[in-house]
Amino acid sequence: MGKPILDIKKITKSYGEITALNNFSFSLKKGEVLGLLGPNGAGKTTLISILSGTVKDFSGTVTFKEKNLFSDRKLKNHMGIVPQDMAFYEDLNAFDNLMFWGGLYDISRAELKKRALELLDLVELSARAKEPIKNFSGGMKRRLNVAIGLIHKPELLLLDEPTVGIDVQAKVSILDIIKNVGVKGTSVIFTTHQLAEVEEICSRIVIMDKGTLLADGTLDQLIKIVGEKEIVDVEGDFSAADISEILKKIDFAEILSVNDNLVNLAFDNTDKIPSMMELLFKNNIPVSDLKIKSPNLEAVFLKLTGRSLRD
Amino acid sequence: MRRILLIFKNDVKRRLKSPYAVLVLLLIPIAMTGIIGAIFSPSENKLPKINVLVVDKDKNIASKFLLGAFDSPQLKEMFQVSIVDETEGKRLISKGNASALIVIPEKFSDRLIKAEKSEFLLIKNPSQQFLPNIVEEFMTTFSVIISGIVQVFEPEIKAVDRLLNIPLEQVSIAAMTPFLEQSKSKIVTLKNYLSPLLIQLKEEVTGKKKEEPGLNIFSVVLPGMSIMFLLFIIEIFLRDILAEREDGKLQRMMFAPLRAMEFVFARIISGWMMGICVYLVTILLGILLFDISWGNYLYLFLFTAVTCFWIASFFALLNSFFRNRNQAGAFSAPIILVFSAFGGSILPVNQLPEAFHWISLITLNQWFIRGVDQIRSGIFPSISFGVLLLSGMLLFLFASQFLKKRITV
Repeated sequence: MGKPILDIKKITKSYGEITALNNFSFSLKKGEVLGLLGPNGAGKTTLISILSGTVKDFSGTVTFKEKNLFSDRKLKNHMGIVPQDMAFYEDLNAFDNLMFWGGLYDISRAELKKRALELLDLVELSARAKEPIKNFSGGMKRRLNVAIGLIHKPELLLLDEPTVGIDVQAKVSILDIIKNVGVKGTSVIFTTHQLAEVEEICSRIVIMDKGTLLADGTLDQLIKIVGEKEIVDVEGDFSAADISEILKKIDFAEILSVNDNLVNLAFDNTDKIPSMMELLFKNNIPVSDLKIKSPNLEAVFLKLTGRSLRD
Repeated sequence: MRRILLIFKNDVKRRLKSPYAVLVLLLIPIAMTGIIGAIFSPSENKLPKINVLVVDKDKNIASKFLLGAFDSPQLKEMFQVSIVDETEGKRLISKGNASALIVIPEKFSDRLIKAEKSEFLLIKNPSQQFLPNIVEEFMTTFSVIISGIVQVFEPEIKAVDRLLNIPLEQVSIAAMTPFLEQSKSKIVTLKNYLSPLLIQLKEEVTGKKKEEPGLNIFSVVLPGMSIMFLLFIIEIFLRDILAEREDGKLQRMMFAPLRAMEFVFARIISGWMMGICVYLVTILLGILLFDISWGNYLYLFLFTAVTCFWIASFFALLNSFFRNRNQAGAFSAPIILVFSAFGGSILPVNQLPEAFHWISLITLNQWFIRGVDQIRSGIFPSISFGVLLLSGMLLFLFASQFLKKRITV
């Protein structure tokens, strides 16, 4: 596979007493599409800010294309970002935005114009290229946001929740674009709260929490963390404290996470489920629903972080 | 530099696509100057016509002479005379509908011919300060002239009076001849004095005509008003720093090969340049709409440039302390209003209590208004220019450092 295009080593960054990143390391190879997962406060934003150069006071190294990312400003010509916000000028049209944002990179004007037209075609906005963006739908704006990130043909693209708040059709379109850029050799770091999206497009997944890397591997490798177990979700009108006390008494299931009204458990053998239900009924714990699922990324995430991705 | 120019060009394009906020802030001072100027400046240098009411109880030759004098082209420009009866005249003057009421007494002509004393009654409108006095002066002058004529021509007038009282068939031309001869000699003598006048006034104008600064009230009001709104306009431009930080554009820019300092310079230069453009439009509108003569235009351009630089640096510095756009809006507006109130944009500084005069020295408005006033007089405002340039450079240095720190953590 060759040398990594991005190599992050032992990064630590603190804001006062809060440690946002703690000895955090990972690397990314050319053409890899990496899903970066972590609940709020995990350190994803700090990591992106370090890569953009807006956070400077940290320890550790960031190597990009075998060079210190911060030693040569021109290296940034090979990196792109799609921020979570619609980071463009709504009073300009789509074409003007592409020309402006592309103009910040070292590309000739002729090449930039050609690239802008290609991208407008790719994100299906050619027909509305000269319309003010304020008239665009949410999905169209998201597609333009992605196009701006690709205007300078980056070798590394960071996407920070690029599918937030859009309809299914627009989401599918954006995920297709991301998959295609990966196929064409662009390395991608993709953060999202939608585990299904990660499962669909990422060749590798990194899970982080509280500034620390918890897991790194392919989907299959991560699922092995949960093992050959069945995942059981128990829903009902109960408190986390009440049900925790009762579940301590069972030894035939692994507790993945406990919340008010929802418990996630991993069973080696589903034959033991009736025993658990009997115990809950005996202790007057009302159960309204029970779901049995195969091991998935959500179960891995719950096992590693003890909370769901949206917490 | 290429990226700084790119950001500047992009800002210009954006402002041209959505120019309404800037246009409104540009037109408000123009409109306010128009209104204030129209209220406080007389539209012409002429006095308004003086309304004079005349009650003619004489209705004879002398009263006709007075009314005829009022009807002369020169006095007609000055006086609007209405003939009324005494009751109506007193009612109108008590209501303040005229400047003065003149009552010509009964048998005024007869008494003149007999060279007997008589009196005009002059009732002045107490609510008017100057106009009734002009009527009084006119009537005094008229009385002196009539008295003089009567005294000079007393024998002739009396003779004419006698002639008028005898039947026409008894009039003797021979008897009239000595009076006519005497009258002729007096008129010829008077003519020698009056035409041409013995003493004449020779007018001479030295030097070229020069417009006095301050004569055009709009040129006094507009600099104060416009600097207040220029502060608002450049503040809006500089607030982009906070907007871009909030909505991810700054993050996106910093991902490009753009230095933090380049971004800071781009923002300040953009606010500075667009401020100059906006003020040049104000200057042009001042010339076109209010006929303002701004003095030396090179001085004015340099002074405008240094002023806009000061404002851009000032708001860049302020925005390095604000957390978000709302906070910037909440703090900037009161700061601009305080600058304007104490700096002479709303009231001239000399109208403020003396204790506040020193505060005006720390406002941009005061230095700008002073400077423009000097430029209109043809003088380069070296002190105002120097103060704004030095303080602007200090603000720029602080702003660039603090903003850079805010962008990079």
